[in-house]
Amino acid sequence: MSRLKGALLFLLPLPLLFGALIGLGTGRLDAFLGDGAGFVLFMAAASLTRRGILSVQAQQTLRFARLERIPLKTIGGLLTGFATGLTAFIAVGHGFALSLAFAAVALLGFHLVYGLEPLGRPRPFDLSDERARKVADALAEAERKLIELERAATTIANPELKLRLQRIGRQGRVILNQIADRPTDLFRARKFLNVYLEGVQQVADGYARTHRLADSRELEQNFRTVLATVEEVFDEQHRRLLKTDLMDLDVQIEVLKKQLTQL
Amino acid sequence: MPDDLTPHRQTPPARPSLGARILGVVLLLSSVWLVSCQALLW
Repeated sequence: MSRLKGALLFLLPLPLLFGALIGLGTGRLDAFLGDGAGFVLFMAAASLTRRGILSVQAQQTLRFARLERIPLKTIGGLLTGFATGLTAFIAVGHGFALSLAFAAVALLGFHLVYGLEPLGRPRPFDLSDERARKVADALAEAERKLIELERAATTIANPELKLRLQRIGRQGRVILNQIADRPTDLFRARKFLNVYLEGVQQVADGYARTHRLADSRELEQNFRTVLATVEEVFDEQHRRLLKTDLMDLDVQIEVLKKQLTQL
Repeated sequence: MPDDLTPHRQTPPARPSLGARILGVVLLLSSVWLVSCQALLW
């Protein structure tokens, strides 16, 4: 279905293409230029809109990372309005006010179908203090590494190694979610975030780049061994965080019990 | 520090309702499509 996103914007201006071609065939340069320019603008708008829609869908899979976002859909919408007004004014010969009205109708229609993006960048967290911001930054950085890791996995042909990398990516996300639920875990997981995650991402990236050039069984075996170790370490990290969370909860329960008996 | 940092942005942005989208398609037809057809016939 995502292949059809924004298809309407590619289809509606098609008469302009025929107009430009007929203008060329009949030797009418003004018709060719007017219709052709309008068509090119509409196609640019449709392309931007489509990229914007796909980029919004991709952002929804991210939990922590805040990628730089250009409001492509909004630019696409404004360009659609502009192209409509310009075509009405130049290629059809309508007056300025009527052309403006056409542009406004197109922009409104675009907004109702695709929706213009809200101004300003959304903030994924309620970052009320400096420490919360640090945790959020660490999580965002870690998620970027996981995205790189998953990207590297898609380029590796060996299904077993690909599966292992994907599993490591999932384990990593589970740990990030644990840290997000209890930010105090960040201190306990600093080695995971700063050393292991960075290391496995670099190794996976390096393997993805070089394994096609040098088909070495030894390299493949080494990579397999290191991935198995990483899986164990990630699993151990997950269990350790869970255990400390349970211990913290135990302490909290004990404290509450004592407070209640003192009443 | 807050108790948890679970992102607030969990739900996808709301899509325009079906009625609004149909109206939007009609508006796009009567602007982009109409102007393109007029340019073809001009």
